[in-house]
Amino acid sequence: MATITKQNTPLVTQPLKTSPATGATLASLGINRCIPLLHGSQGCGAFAKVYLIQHLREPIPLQNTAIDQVAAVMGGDDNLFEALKTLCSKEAPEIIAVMTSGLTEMQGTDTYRVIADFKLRHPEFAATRIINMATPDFNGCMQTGFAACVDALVRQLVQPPSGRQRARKQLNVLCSVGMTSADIETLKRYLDAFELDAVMVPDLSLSLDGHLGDDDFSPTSTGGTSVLEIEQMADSAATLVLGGSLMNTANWLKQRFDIPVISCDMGMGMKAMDSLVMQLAKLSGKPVPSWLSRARRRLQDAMLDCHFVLSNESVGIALEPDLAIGYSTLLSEMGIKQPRIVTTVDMAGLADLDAAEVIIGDIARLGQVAPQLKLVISNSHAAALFEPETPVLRAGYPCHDQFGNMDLRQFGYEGSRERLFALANLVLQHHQDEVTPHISSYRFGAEHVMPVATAKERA
Amino acid sequence: MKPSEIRLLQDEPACEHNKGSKSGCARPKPGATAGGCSFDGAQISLLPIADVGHIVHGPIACAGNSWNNRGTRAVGSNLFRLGFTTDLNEQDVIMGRAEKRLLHAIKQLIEEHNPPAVFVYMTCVPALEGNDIESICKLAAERWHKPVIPVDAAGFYGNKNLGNRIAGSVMVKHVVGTAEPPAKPLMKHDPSRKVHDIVLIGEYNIAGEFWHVSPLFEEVGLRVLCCMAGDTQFHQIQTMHRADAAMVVCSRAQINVARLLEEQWGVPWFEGSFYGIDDTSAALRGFAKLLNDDKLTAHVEQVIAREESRVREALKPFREQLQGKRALLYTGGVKSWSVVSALGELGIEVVATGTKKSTQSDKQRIIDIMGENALMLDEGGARQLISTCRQHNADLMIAGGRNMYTALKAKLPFLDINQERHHAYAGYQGMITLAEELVRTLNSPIWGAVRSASPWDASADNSAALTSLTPDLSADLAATDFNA
Repeated sequence: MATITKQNTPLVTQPLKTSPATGATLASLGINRCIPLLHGSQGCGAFAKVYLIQHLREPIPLQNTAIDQVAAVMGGDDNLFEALKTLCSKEAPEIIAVMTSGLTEMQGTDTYRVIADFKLRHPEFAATRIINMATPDFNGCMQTGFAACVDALVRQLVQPPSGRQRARKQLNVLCSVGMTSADIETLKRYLDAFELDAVMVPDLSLSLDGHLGDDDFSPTSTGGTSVLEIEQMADSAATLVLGGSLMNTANWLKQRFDIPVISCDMGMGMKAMDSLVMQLAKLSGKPVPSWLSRARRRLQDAMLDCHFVLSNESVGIALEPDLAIGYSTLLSEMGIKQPRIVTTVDMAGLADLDAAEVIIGDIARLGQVAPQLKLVISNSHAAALFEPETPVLRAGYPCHDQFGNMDLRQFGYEGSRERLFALANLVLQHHQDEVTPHISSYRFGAEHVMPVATAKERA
Repeated sequence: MKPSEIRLLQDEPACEHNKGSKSGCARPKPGATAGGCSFDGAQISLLPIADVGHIVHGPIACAGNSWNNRGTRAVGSNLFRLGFTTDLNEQDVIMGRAEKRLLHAIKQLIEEHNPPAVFVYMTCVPALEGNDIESICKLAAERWHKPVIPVDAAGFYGNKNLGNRIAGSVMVKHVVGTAEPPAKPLMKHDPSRKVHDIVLIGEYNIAGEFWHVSPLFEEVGLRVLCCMAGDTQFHQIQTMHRADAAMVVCSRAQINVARLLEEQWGVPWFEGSFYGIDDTSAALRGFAKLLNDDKLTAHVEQVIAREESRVREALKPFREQLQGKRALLYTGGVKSWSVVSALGELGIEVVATGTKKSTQSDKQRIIDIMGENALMLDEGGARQLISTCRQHNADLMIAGGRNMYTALKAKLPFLDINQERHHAYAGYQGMITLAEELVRTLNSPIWGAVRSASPWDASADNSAALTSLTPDLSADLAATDFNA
């Protein structure tokens, strides 16, 4: 059990969080042929865009409504209307995700009304779905924005059950902001092993996995779950939730369509994965394939090998709640002490973590306990703060100082194993001899000895 | 090296094994051996002489597989961490160019690194070829005015212990006594007296652990002329003969060095260990006794009392966590009993101890500590070690690194006690590290997870396994008939 405290200082020095719109943008890019549209000034869009580009090393087709001085005072409805018209007529995307910013929420914008008005006046663009979500940066963080987008996608697109028979059972999968492309790919492999069809919301592994497409330019997301798939989510046998941040959406599907919910936090660590595999086996009625047993045994072996350098060490975490919970459970299974976890927002599950304390605050809060930490798990900002004294295992956003962020696997027996190796390797790479060399004051150098030509040498 | 010379080395009067039909150490048994060769033994005992250029004369396997893989630590020149080798190739062997190549290798090493001395290690291939490394070394020494010392310990001469012994005798024959140490300085804490000179034999400063002990020697006014070999420089070996007392640490393999020092220069010696509180104290007292200085004896007692109470206090919290745990100890020689008492300090009971490399006197001490019924293991096959652990409900295995993965695959907590380890267990301070590492492995929560069968294998009845899930999820699942 961890005590949760909110940082209560007027000045934030090393913010861990960033804007909800950034998270919503990311989520929307896991839907095929989507354009995220940020209702705000140019800067609101540009910052989020650069942030994601640096982390993902991919073009980000984020648009904005370019609120200027006049629109700021007189209202931005026309800007949004015009932006929708431009995007629909020029790009004809499958879907537009309209997000708000602090600026437009302050104006009291009603994006729902503008979108409804737009649909009424432009029936010719009916093929393009338009969803809206409230993502002002004065409320929440990247994770909540991501969740808001997933929630909007589900609530605004899902149709009533079709009643059609399916050869394979369908499963809704809600994927947390903490999941990488590699995580999602691994999860899909698990689901396929149980012959389950999955609707992943969102599916970043089809768009932001770092692939080259055939087109030289794309104004929309380049892959992901289709709108049609999302519309048919009510036909699913269950909703699998990865990350507590998406639990609300799963609960809505349960209330609205009576779809049961299964969850396993982030699928990190043996307990979470055992539970997930059993639930999938039960759901599908299929036997657990042997490769999964093998993957589990390999995780066990990794735990054995790594415990010599990891057990009893202290590790600090500064991550958004979903990932913080994922890593914390993984660390707990290894007996790694967690004196302090810093995260961005309070959430169910944080209080149950095996950490001494959880602080809702900035990365600097972790700095206060840095001397007792062997490692830190956090983003590039934390690395700039703690390295080289304390090594930082990169996770979460932003990690702009390394390549292949989307290839890092955390999910599953495999991901857990790989993260354990990464942690253990960091410890080894920063190994310091535990004994300080002692040079006795009586020790003498070579220049102080007197060579003798002994008889045996002459012989 | 001639067979007669090897036989001579195997005859070690100071070793208890040296009697009856068995002369020296037992011969390796084809198909059933674990452990290194003579070259390995010679190299590891001399490599910690850190500023020397160590050239392995042979094809690549000997140096390629072994360079810079030891835990020994040194300050100053760390030339020993480079892997100098003549890397003989097929043409060198066929054309008989190995000796020439060696001479050029020595030249290059001296020109590039200018070490105080060069050691040349013979390996099997040039030995079979009949290379005369002794002459090459002599030639090189004359040409470059530097000690170039042949260490003729090719792998097939015998086991690792023989190699240790060859290395020791080479040092005594070629190096010890070739320089005089500076005059004894006055003690820093008592300028009315001069320091006593001591040497240590068979201390390798693994993970820097001798640095836990060395400050104690300094404190009581003992000058370590040479630690052979750990954090050692060439000139220190040269002055070993001037020691007032010597200690053979935890290894009987180089007992010949102590005997030769005594025979040739009258250096008295004793055997001891720095593992555990009692042994560390005994080692300090051992020096005090041989040096026969009342003030030193009193000072040593004072230091012992202070350190023992400090460490016992620091160990209290660990003792609480370790009390009543049971360990199987599989290590050699002195450690077969010295570690038993060290573990006793921590409240750990040793259910069995390995005695494959222990002497009669070692065994007697085991009986003294563990009682008449002490279980001694003369053979240490992986299978037997695990079975013994299981039979006696051992909570962990303490052994050398090569048994580590045996223990882990059997899902047993493990502590590495031999030369490959990364932790410093020597001296009083080392006991605290030992306790920390024991707690780390024993109290790690992984054991439940790694011993658990997967829930789908554990029970054919899936619903039983499902009840162990979090209640709300189970309820969710139970409420829904997925097959409908």
